[in-house]
Amino acid sequence: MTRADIDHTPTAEDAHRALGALRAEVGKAVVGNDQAVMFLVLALLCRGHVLLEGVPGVAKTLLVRALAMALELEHSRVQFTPDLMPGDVTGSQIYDPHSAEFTFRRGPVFTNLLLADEINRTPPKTQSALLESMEERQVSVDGKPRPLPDPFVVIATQNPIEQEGTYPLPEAQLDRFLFKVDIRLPERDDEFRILQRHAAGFDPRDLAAAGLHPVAGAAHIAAGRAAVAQVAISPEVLAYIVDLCRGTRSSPAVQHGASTRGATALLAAARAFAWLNGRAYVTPDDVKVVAVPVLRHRLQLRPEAELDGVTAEGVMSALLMSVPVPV
Amino acid sequence: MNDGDNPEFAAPEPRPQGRDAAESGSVPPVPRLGPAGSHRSSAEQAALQRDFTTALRERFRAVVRGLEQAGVLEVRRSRTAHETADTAEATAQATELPGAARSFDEVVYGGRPATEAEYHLLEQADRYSLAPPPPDEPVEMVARERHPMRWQLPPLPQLLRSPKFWAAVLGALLVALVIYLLLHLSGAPKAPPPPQTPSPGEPPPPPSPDFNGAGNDSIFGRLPSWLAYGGVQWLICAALVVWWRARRRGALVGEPRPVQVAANELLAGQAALYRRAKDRDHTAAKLRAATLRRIRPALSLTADAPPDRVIATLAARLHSPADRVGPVLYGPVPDDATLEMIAAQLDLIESEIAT
Repeated sequence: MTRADIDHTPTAEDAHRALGALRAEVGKAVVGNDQAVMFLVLALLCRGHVLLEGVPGVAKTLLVRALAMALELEHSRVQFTPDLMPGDVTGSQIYDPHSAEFTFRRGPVFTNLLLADEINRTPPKTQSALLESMEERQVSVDGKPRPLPDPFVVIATQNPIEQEGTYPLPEAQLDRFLFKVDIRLPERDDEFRILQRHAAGFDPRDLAAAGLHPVAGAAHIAAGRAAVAQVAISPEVLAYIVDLCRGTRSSPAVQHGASTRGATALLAAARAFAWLNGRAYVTPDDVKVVAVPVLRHRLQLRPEAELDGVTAEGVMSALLMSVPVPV
Repeated sequence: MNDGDNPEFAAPEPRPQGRDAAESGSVPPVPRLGPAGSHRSSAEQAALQRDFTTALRERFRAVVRGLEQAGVLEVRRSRTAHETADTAEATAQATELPGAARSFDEVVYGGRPATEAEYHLLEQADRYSLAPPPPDEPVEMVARERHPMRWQLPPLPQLLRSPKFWAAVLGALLVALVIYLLLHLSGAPKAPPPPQTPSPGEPPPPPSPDFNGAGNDSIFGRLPSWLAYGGVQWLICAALVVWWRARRRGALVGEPRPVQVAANELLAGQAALYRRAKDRDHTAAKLRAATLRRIRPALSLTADAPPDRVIATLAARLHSPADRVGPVLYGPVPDDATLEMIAAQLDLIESEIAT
């Protein structure tokens, strides 16, 4: 795909083709993790945000950088630390001695893809600074709202194995993430291919040398969003989504189930997934594919269930095996 | 401010009527399926009226229920059309169903009207919806023989027929006997020494100067010694019984219902109950029913196949004499060793059929 293809106003078919080519393009830098790439693209189409969970060293940052490069979008990375202040993320007023005025210096949040690395290492005050950006897509400083660029997606990472010195994300912020995606350690074959690439001279800091080039842009995402909005969904599938979400609330292992925001998120993700698969309608299969990453971080388990080893993924699997599908 | 201005007391908005109600749409009910035969007849009726959209949907439902009734698929309402087709293709070589599932999705969820050709393709491929409705219990469980009792007890109250009641009565009698023996074997109370009668001419001794009119003996001192001794025994017994029956580890914890129990725990619990009840016939019938449900598709047998046909088909498939296969599937189970042997042979049969 040439630069001219990206710059012209794309149609829905162009957008579908370009976003479909993303996986192969990101695959030039990241081996495996196709699921994560798919959910990142779905988040772009749904105006959602993604929480990536994985141990250190599984190419979470590389994945985001590769995606930003293949999409020709701006990206920035913030390493969340215990002493990070809200102004370090959103920006702050700086006194300019030349003009003798306060000017606003934009923070790293003014970008298309924001990688919030190890978001659970910073106190809730700084975590909450992202809330307005994620939901309203704007930053208010001194009472003046400043809109963020479009698209704007927060891709946050957290490490599941360390508990010391971490601040678990509050439920209100977790609910703002469209997906929670596990980045797993690669399989044997994938790890072999990673080492093979590194042996051949692959440099993760120089993605252009690895052959990555933009295959889609913000215009493709906008065209894709317009097409996703046209995807039809039957009342029966809507009722299936409602039944799934209500099932999370009545599960004996769950203290607080998915909110109505969770149900709307599931609807949006299922529509985007159907469109990515070339369909103009949503099936229950689409709902099932996206249900676990959309809903699992919205479930608050009972303490006794957690002690018994029950997980949110287990609850979701049981629900998907028990909620009747409209056939 | 009058009451009408207060939003807390405002009457609820009336629900939309007429056209507005039609636009808001009704909430679909929880999906349920009936027997395969009823969906099949609905499909045929709709096809006669050239409503192929309804016909296709009902025919697919008939196929799903037929596959469940034939034992090919587990009875579950949470399967999508594609999952049903993929499972049926894997277990019953139903290669035409994935294509039918695609048409089903387009018609039911995509809103495209079904064509006559699509319906007839599914109709021709439907060899499942004629399966008989499932019996209340697996065939193998119903076929189990129950020997009538030679004599019957006269009707008695439930309590008198309970062995636990008689065990409790026997236990109480034993405890009473033990206490009685303890009281009599531990030595009879000694008779008090005869009182010394004062001589008639001798005056009674003068009262002590600090005598205040009250004695220093208690009521317990005047109880017969056997009663005091028995009372202590009873108290010790009661304390032991309370400690035995009333002890618990930690505070009571309320558990939300329904309770989720891990499958392996449930299995182990049921197995222990069967073992305690020594109900080998029931255990064997369960194992046999599960094996037959799994191997039936591979043998092209339906759920209502008679035992003779099942034995003959299985014997032919395993190249084994029918008189060796028959007892494994339908023979008596007199003891635990036979049950273990039957379980092992059922495993062997399943592995042979799978290969």
